This record gives sequence, structure tokens and C-alpha cells, in this order.
Amino acid sequence: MIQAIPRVVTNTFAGAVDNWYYPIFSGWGITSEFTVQASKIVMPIEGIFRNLATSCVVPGHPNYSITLVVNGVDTSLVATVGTGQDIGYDSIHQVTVSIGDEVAYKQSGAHVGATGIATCNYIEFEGDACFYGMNPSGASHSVGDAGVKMAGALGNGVWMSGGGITRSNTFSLCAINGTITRIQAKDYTGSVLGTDSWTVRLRKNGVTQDGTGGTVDTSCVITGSETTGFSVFELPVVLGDILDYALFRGGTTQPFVLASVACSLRLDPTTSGEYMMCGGDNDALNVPDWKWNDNEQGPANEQQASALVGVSGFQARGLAIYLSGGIVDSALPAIPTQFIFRKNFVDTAIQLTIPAGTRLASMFTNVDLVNGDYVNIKFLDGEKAHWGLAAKNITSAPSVGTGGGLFWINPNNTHDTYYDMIRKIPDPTIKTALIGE
Amino acid sequence: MPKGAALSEISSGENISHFAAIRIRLSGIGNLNMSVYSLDNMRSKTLVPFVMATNTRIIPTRLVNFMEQRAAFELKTTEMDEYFRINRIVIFTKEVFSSYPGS
Repeated sequence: MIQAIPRVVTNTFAGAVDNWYYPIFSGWGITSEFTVQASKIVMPIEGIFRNLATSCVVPGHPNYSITLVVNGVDTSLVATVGTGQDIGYDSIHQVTVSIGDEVAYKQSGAHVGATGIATCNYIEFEGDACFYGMNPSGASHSVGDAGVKMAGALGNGVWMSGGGITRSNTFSLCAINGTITRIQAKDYTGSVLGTDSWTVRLRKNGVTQDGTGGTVDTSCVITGSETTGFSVFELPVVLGDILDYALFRGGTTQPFVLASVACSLRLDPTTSGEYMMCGGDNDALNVPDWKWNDNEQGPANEQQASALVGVSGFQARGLAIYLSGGIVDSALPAIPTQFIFRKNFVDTAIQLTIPAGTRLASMFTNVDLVNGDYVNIKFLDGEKAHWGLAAKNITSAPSVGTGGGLFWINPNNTHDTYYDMIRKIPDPTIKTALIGE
Repeated sequence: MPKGAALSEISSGENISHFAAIRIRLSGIGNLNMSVYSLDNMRSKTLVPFVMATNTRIIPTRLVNFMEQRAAFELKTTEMDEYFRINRIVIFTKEVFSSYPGS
């Protein structure tokens, strides 16, 4: 399956240096070398990254490039925005990754000041399932439940201290049904754990999945001389489930570090090829406002809050909304609230009106996105919410370097795959009759 | 038979033959992939491909080593921008047995 990963990232080009590293999912960057490790996501699944794209719509932005970095090394997957351009693509190169590999974006370009400006990136991942990851937590970690760190588990999380709470303020809302089958984690502290430990678990709907009380044991433990760990299990998730990572420290307190533990998960969708994009906002909102994962806060600017769709596009299949102010449920609004999935700054058919007194709602219809589209979630009424967008790839990824063959044109195909993979023109062939004496 | 394929004249006889080799007067670009099939395609064997050249003085021979009553040879290219031109096919066979035991 192919998973599209579009994201917005704020505050790029900020600071005084000209390279920024940031995660391919959520979280912000760091203007320093990759070895600082704050931006890495550790892969829980093998697969191929391809079709990198980047866009900046802020007037006067500098020329820049986005590079996929794997295990600290720049890959050939580079998208460049040159003079007079707002969008750059790399549809040629692809990068194969294995379980345990570390990936991040590197953005290179002249810095523009203290706060920087927003860019949006898009990349595709082809694997047996979809995946979501968190870059390392940067904090001190006290032992046990009191020191737990939490973050949304499906691509929109930001680490926070979770002592005494059961849900993070960046929790992820499931928009599809599936089974989470693996957690992968890596310790970046550089210290030998010995009798200390790190344990990553999932919290589903506020309940830690540790094997007790009938829950699925998702515990991924790193201890002793280890620096990596993984766990395999089957944790079913359905539309409307709330998911967080919960990172526990065992043994002795971990003093403050820039990067402690990164973790990621593999999700096998129930419907083949499905995946989701998640986000949310707990800040004060304008009326209306436009949101995507990690877009800028502040004055409404739909263009700068929108994510770019790249080469293969995807099909948005529906939207789920959970009205909430964060770690605890806020009071429900007394009037209906509206959310719209927008494409190129125009409303699509994915429009959700949540009745007064209702917290969780969803609607499903298909909207096709193609290369160059911009997307966002419009919050019409200023209500804080977390969202999950169900998605599915709708084109077959071309195989690079196979030679392929000749295919009949299918006029019904509307994306880059104009040919029909099912109707291959036969290879030039001679077959003799049966010869015998 | 796929569209664009060529059909040769049939031959007679069902004695069990050893198909020893195939020789082809051949020119083209790419690899000519070859396979040999028994009746009803129940047995097959993939042969080492010929690497083609647009100009050549060599008429290459490829060992087959396939024993059946009747055999059909399939020749094809599979990659973009490959083509072949065949002027002559010679198949070297030797009758080995007249029939299978009891049949």
C-alpha cells in the first residue's frame, strides 16, 4: 500500500543557521546537525519512500531544498524550490528503508529571522502497512506513572508530561479500522541503561495497553545494554478510538536530555490500502480557521495552513471529529459545529455538522486529490477539536527501472497512471507449433 | 496465441525425441528469451537467452536438452525498446524412443 504523508511545518528558516531538521510527521525542527537526534523517526516497517514534494507560499521566501535523511546520511530524494518557484518535486528517486532505520527531513535554505515561515512537505511511503512515528522526547523523565510522557500516536503528536492524566493534548483520533501490530523504539540518551529501562506502550481511549485488565500488552521495553526495542501484538482500533504513546521510565530518573526515546507503530488497515491523517487544535481559534498538522497559529491565513498533495495524490474518504479542549473533555457547545475538508481553498463534499451536545461524529464520502492540490480542515465555529481524515491511495505506484512494458491507455484514469496495468500489450512473441518426429 | 505472434507449419510424428539444441539466425536489440513447452504446456523449460546484436556473423546455438514427444518453442522479448528479427530456426532433435512403456 501507499501512504501519503502531507504536513505543514511552521517556523522553518528560523534562527541563524541554514539547515533545519524536523520529523516527517509532526513536531518542529531544530537548527542543528542530525546528530542532535531530535528529529529522527525510527522505522517500524520496511518500505520505500518516493515522490517528495515541498511548497512555500509565503511571498519572498528563500530558495530551498528538502532532503530525506536516512541514518544521518542525505539521500538522493531531494526536492528543490528555485528562484521564482513555489513548489519543488523529486519524482525520480526513491529510497528503501529497513526496520530500525532513522528518517528525518533536512531543509536547507537561507534563514529569514527569529520566527521563520511555514513550508509544507509531502512524501509517499510504500510498504505492507502504514506507519506513524514520534521523534525523540526531549525532557527529563522521572520514574513510573508520575513521569510518563505522552503524545498522539498517529502522526500528530507532540510530547508532553503525562503524570496524572490519561490522554495527551495532542491525542490522535482514529478515522479508520485496523490493527496495530508493532511498536519500534530507540534510546538516544547515549547512556547504558543497565537496570534502568524505557517502556513504550499505547493508551487507547485513556487505558494503558499493558496486558492487565484484559488489555493487549503493547509494551516495548529497552533495558540493559540495549538501545533499541520492539514489541509485536495485535491491538484492534476502530473509528473514533483515541490513541497516545505513553513513554515510561523505570529504575532511576533520567535527567534532562535533548533526545530520549523515539517510537513508532505499524498499523495494518482492515480495508486494504486505507490509512489516516490526524491532527487537532487545543488553542484559541479564529472564526473561521483552517488547520492542518502543525500549521501556524495566529491570524487566519488559509494558504499557509494548507498542506500540499504530491505526485500520486490520494483519496480522502471521510472525516472524524472529536470536540475537545485537550487532556480532558471541555463543555460541549450548545449549537451545532461545522468542519469542512477543503481542497484548493474550496469546500469539498466532506462536510461534517456536529449536533449540539455531541462530541464525536464522522461522515464518509470520497474526494480525490491530485498532484498540486492544497488541503486543510476548516473549523467554522471556533470550537477546539481533534480530527482524523480517512484516506486511501488511488493509483498504482510505478516501478522504477523495471522496463515495464507497453500498456493500453485507459481514458478513465485521471492521474499520472494513464496506462492500464491490467491490459498490458503482449510482449512480441513467436511460438512454434508442436514439433516432433 | 497472443496478438502479433507468428505460427509455423506443423510437423508430424509423436516419437519421443530428445530436443538437443536450437539455432537461430537472429538480429535485434536486447535479449531474446526462449522457452520450450511440451504438449498442453505440462512441462516447460526456460533456456538461456540470446543476447542480440543488430549486425552479426554468428548464428548462435543454444542447448535445449528436452525430451518429449512434441515440443513447442517460444521466443520473445519483454523489455521496452527491444526487438528481434528471425530469418531461420533450426532445431536439432534425435528420436530416442517410439513410445512410453505400456502406452
